[in-house]
Amino acid sequence: MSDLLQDYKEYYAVRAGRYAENPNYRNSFEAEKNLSEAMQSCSELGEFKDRLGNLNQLCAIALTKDKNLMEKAVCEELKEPIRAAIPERILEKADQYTEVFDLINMVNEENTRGMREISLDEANRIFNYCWMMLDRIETYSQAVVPAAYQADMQNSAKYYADRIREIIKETEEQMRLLDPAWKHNPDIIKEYRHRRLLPYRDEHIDEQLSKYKTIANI
Amino acid sequence: MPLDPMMTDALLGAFKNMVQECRDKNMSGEYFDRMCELYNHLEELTRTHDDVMAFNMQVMKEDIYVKISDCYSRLLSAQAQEQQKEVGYDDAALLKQNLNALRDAIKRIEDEKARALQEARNYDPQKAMNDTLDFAYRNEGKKGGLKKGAIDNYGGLDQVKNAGEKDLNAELKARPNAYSNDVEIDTLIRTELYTKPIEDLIKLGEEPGMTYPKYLRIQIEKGLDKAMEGSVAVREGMVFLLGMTEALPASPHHIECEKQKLELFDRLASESKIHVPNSDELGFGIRRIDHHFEPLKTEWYEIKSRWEDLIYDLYIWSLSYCPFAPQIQPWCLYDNPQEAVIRTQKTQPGIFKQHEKLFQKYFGLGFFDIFKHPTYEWEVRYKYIGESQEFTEFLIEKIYPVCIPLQDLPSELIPPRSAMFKDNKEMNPDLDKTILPMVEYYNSVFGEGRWQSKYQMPEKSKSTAAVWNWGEFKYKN
Repeated sequence: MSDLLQDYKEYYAVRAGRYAENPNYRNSFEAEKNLSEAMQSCSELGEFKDRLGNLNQLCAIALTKDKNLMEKAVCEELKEPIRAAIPERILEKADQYTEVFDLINMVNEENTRGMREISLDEANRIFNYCWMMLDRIETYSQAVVPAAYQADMQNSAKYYADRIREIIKETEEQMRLLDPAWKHNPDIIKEYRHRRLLPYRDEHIDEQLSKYKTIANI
Repeated sequence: MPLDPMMTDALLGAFKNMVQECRDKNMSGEYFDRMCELYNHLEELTRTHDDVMAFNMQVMKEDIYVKISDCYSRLLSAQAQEQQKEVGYDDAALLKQNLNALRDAIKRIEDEKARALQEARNYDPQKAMNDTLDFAYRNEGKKGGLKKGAIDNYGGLDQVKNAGEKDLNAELKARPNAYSNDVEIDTLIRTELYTKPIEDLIKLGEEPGMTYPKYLRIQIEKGLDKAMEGSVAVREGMVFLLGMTEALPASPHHIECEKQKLELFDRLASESKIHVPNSDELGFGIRRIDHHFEPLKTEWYEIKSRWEDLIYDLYIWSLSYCPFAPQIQPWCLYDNPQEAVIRTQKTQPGIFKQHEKLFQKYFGLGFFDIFKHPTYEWEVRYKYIGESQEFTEFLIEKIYPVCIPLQDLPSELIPPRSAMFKDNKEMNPDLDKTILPMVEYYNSVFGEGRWQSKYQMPEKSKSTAAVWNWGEFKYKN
């Protein structure tokens, strides 16, 4: 007949051992080790309920911390500060929680808050989309054409300038549904997380930003 | 005005089911009341908003979905714990409960696939089309919708539906599976990849003398718990995606990106004692790979689209001098085609030179560098390039040198240019073959002839030009 106490001791030892050699799960290893030690110290199965206390909850908190430490490290490696703020906030708050559901709820709320912040930040990338329109404005304004067509070309340039202003206005209306104070800030596009998606030199970006801000009156 | 019912059913369906499930299980208390309150608030928002984006933004701002899910999870957990308390500690009962939950999971996985297959087989494209037209008609004049009166301008809703039905019937006659996805669902959703590991766990649990803690320990030691995460299915998905990408690759970066993800999977699996990659490490690794390739793909696309504009400028400018230009697109679409033709003749060289200037400014590339650039060779190799080799050489040798602002196309070039159009020499003759590698791959996965039964095959090319011979293309070096 199986010795349940021995079976549980072996189970908790193996459970703790999962994280033993993985430096990414240090907190989980410590928490699981504490849980295992509580079990190892029992001489009867019934004792575990009292020795367990909140050790199980602490394992959930530890795993949450480990996952968010990894997430934070990846965001920092990829230079994504807006995304990194989510695990940072979770890590600041995690130790306050003793109930798993409250912890899960907090994590979900921080993730949703983070999604809003990412949307608001990345909405500034309308500048990238408008780059093509700035080029068209330059093309139509500077193309050498017979005098009879110059007004026509200026009208085409004006069309794209108006489109840029419309796009900015539409984006601001949408983003203000998330944050009433949101204002388009194209300068932010020079920060690494946005800049890496523009295949142009810095001086060209500065030049386009200047034209863009003049057109948009920013 | 409220959101359209077709939208609200889709948005609220899952949450409505959660509330009903809890009601059916006679749940009550603080979290049940809170969940009902939140759901009622969601319904109210669908009545007070007429713009689905504004609705979604408000729901996101108030975290409504997260809050409903939190209540639901707590209610289910509390009920499970109550049931446990009634039973008290009973090792055999715990083990049985766990195994029953696994059997339920297998049933749910199989039922879900069966449901998806049934839905696919029962899909009625005629009804879907009519529902879509009814939706569009009801929402005319709303943000994101058709202009008010648009459908009436086409003869009214019934007229549009009848015309749509005629087109649909013709399509289904030619391609009976145009709207059928049952084979794709059946092939891609391999339930055994998920259910086999679960069955292995159940077998473990059923071994004689098994106790609950022994069962939990052995599944960790043998990696059976990790196997249940479905990583084999993840790998199959990655292999499929790589195959699709290789069949029609937008750039070498697209292929390399998917290849590296698959290599990462295999490396992490080989480093694991149980041959299952750690899901966190896999997820972070995939993010790193996507992050690395995103700017490379963007740059490739930017360079390609700019030289496409340059070639198009030469194409359209030279075509505008052909005597039949006012009778063909794009000029025949204008109110005054002749005026439009002359506008192109007079303005396109100036536009072309500005495009050329920007191409040089941003990427340090001149006109002749286009043909030496890897983006160009790629487009030729994969038969994406629209122009034939001889037409391209004509544009390079004859049209480019004379595309000068304030100057017209020399009259002696008009006959050969007209001939290029009239003799069907402009287009790449292999454009009807571009899709073939995708057809071959798709059919290798879903069965011979499957692609053709769903999608329109390109018409046979009418181009009389010779096929591209990259080796003999003099401008590639």
